[in-house]
Amino acid sequence: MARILVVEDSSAVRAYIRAALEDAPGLFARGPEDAPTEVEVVEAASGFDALRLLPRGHYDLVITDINMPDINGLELIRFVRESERHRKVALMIVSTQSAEKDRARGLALGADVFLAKPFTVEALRKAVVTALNGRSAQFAADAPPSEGATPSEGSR
Amino acid sequence: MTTESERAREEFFSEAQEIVEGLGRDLLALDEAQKSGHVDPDLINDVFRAVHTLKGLAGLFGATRMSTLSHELEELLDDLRMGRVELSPPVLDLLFRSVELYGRILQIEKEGREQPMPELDQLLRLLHRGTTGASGTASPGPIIDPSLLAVLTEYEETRLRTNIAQGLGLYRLRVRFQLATIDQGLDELKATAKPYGEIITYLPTGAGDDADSIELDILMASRASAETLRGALAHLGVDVEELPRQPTIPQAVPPPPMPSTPARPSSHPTPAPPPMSPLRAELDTTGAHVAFPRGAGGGDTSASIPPKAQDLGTIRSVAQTVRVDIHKLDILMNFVGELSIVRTSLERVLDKMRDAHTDRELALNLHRLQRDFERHISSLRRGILEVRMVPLGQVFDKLARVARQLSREADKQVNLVITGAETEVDKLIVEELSDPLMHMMRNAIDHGIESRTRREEVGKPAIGTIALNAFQKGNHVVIEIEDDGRGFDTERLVEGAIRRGVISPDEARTMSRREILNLAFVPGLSTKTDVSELSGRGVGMDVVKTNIAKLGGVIDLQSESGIGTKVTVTLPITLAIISALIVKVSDQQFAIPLANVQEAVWLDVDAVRVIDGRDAVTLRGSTLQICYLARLFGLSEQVEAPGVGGFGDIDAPMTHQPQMSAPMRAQRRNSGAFGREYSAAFPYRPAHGTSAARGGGRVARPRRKFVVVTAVGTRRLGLVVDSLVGEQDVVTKPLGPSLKNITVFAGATELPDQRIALVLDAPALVEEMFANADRTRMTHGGPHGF
Repeated sequence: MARILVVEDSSAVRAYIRAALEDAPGLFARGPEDAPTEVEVVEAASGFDALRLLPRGHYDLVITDINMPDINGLELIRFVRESERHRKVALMIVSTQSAEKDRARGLALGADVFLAKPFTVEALRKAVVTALNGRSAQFAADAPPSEGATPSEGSR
Repeated sequence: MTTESERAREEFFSEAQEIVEGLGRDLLALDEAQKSGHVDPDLINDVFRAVHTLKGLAGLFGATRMSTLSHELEELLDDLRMGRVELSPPVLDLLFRSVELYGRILQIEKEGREQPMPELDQLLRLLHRGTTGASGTASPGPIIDPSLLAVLTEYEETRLRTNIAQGLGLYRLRVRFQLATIDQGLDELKATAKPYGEIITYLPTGAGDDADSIELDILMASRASAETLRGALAHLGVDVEELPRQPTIPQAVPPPPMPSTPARPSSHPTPAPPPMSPLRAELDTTGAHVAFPRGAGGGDTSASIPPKAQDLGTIRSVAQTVRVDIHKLDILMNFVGELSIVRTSLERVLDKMRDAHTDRELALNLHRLQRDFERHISSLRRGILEVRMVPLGQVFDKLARVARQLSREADKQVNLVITGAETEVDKLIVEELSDPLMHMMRNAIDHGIESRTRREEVGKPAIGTIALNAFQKGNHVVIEIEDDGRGFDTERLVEGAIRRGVISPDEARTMSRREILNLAFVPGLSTKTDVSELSGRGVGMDVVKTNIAKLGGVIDLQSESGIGTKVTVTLPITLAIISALIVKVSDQQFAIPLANVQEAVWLDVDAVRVIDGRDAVTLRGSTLQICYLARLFGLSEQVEAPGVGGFGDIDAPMTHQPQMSAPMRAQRRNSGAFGREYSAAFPYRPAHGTSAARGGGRVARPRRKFVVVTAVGTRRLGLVVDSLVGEQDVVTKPLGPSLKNITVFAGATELPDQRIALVLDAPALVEEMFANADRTRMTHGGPHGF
């Protein structure tokens, strides 16, 4: 069972991510034994929401947007990386490709995976698997959703 | 398609719609700010964020048009918020046009239609030209502590630099919030700090790792002194520290890990990021250096903000609202309707028990239970109705945008004054109101408000005023659109009506002012011979009237030549459930909405006189035109007492109650707007005592019928029925296609005995009866507007 916290101020993006991850039973395998894992998505509508939720449960992965009101994604990433309790959690940024500076800062602060918006369901799943397996990567923006599109590993 | 992804798609539409509406509001505020010359950067950033979010959504959900538009807009807005482009009226115009287009695009997307949108292409070209390609060389600003820069988004960094460049002081506010009440605490802090400057960012520090509270470092730029800020924020438990401004040797930021492999070219045009000179190469121009200590430091005020109660009532935390599909509420409302029917049946059983002298103990218990049941149903209904309510402000915002656009097109200056935007109405009514109100707004600007020169000639202020008011009145909501323009040209209205054969010259002479004004609602009558580009006054007013009537509302017009026009729309607050009077005609039952019922009285058939070829009776000194529903619907007229049916003993002979000959009156509330009284539709009042339910047809008086006096606006019409069954809350369901075209029925409803009753559309019926009526001077029951 992998628990994922999705921090995003857009409810539709949260719903999209939930649909992409929860509708893929057994998609996520972790570790060498390749046991299929269930995914549970928990939604946070703001940085503050995330701060409220983090101490209340264990998460394997936090997926966060950068541009959010009040507490931005960068501040959240730093908070997680500096806290005793959540330091080990995998961190993934979903943000627009164009905000180069934000991306660079996010990675410098210790995010493991960067996924550019807009992304396809496949790209998202791949990025999540990467992050849950403790690796880091950056995924470039993909064409709008189409069947069978695969994200490009590495990025601009 | 799985259910989860369908849900996500639903969410996309409702969120996008919400964002677009918010965008409209922000633009109006920006418009105001631009005029006043002080634009709040937060506001521009809000607009940017809205478009940015839309772009992201459109990308995810494959809404290409929305993507393209958002992409172009985002560039423009980014230039605006980064201060590379000045906010000017032409730029605002582009933004307003974009909001309108968003709405259209969403509609087309939702319906899945494929249709060309030339206006979109046009706007895109304009936007493309309009963004004058920012130079992209951000002026090298002050040196800022890299550990702080590391967590600022690009925009926050720009704001920080701008503020420093303008010579504002920088402060660190440290405060601890309880996580449970952080939203209120934060709102309060924002509201308090706002007048003193700009909050750049919030940093959770992670100090005192505690699961229930969080410590924040807040970076704020302000012209105020540290003392002033301390004083202002002390009551919130905020610790204020001024950040030193001293020249230091800039430190380099560790270079971020750069990707090695180039991205494959994406089909999405992504703009190249503006070239930013690396920090280390920047010159220290201002000598400002900001150090931002972090981590668990001193000054740990573990004061937590108490949950506030007072004046932030309107700022509801987003986390506490739930979006619900209106159709789900409809389903719930249907259940309530069904429950109401059960409740009524229960009451009938109780009545029977009382009369049948059954076990009194049992009857009493049952009666108590029944009362509880009734109370809970009422609460349930009220609860659901409240959930369906949305503020009229949603429509008013759109109207304000339209007003702005139209007044610019017509080159007239108009000041729009809005009151009562918080008045709440059923969501479905709000949806249906948009078009009629839009049309009236057009009329007011196009035909009401005169040109500047003309206004000056007649000694009016050069700027026209349109007042848009909303307020609640009992179970109704009243919306007024009032302009101080030229008013209606009644002579030309009459001329037009005579020319088109709507009225005869003789009739014209006897018409009251109000009746003449009502000619504006006759299809195709316009006082403007040349219909302008926007709308001919009168053209479309008939449609407006029809649409309002569909919602169970009435529209009223008042106008003084040279002074102005006031259109008043009165609507029921909800469409979901109506209280109705159930009547019998022949062996059919009909429901008449109680909102249109003034009273019900005995009718002595012998007292009917024929006036000007119409049946009429005299009621308390006034002439009342009557209409035999049996004849109207081609049912056999009953001259003897109605047979037993429907509700058992209701129609059976009963002990004589002297007060029954007095007019049955519903619980009343006086209504000036209507010039009539209407009953409170909620909560349900059992039809006991003086209610008509107990005054069923009496066998002894075969020639006796009832007249139900219906009032719509200022017109009254007596509907002749055989008997009154009782009052009931009914859920109106639409009619099938076969009956769709009969205008006098609003729908059908199921009664407690499982029979179906047709619900009369009182406004339509009154309209129908008066449409070709001789223009007899009828005495109206209500005061006239002017």
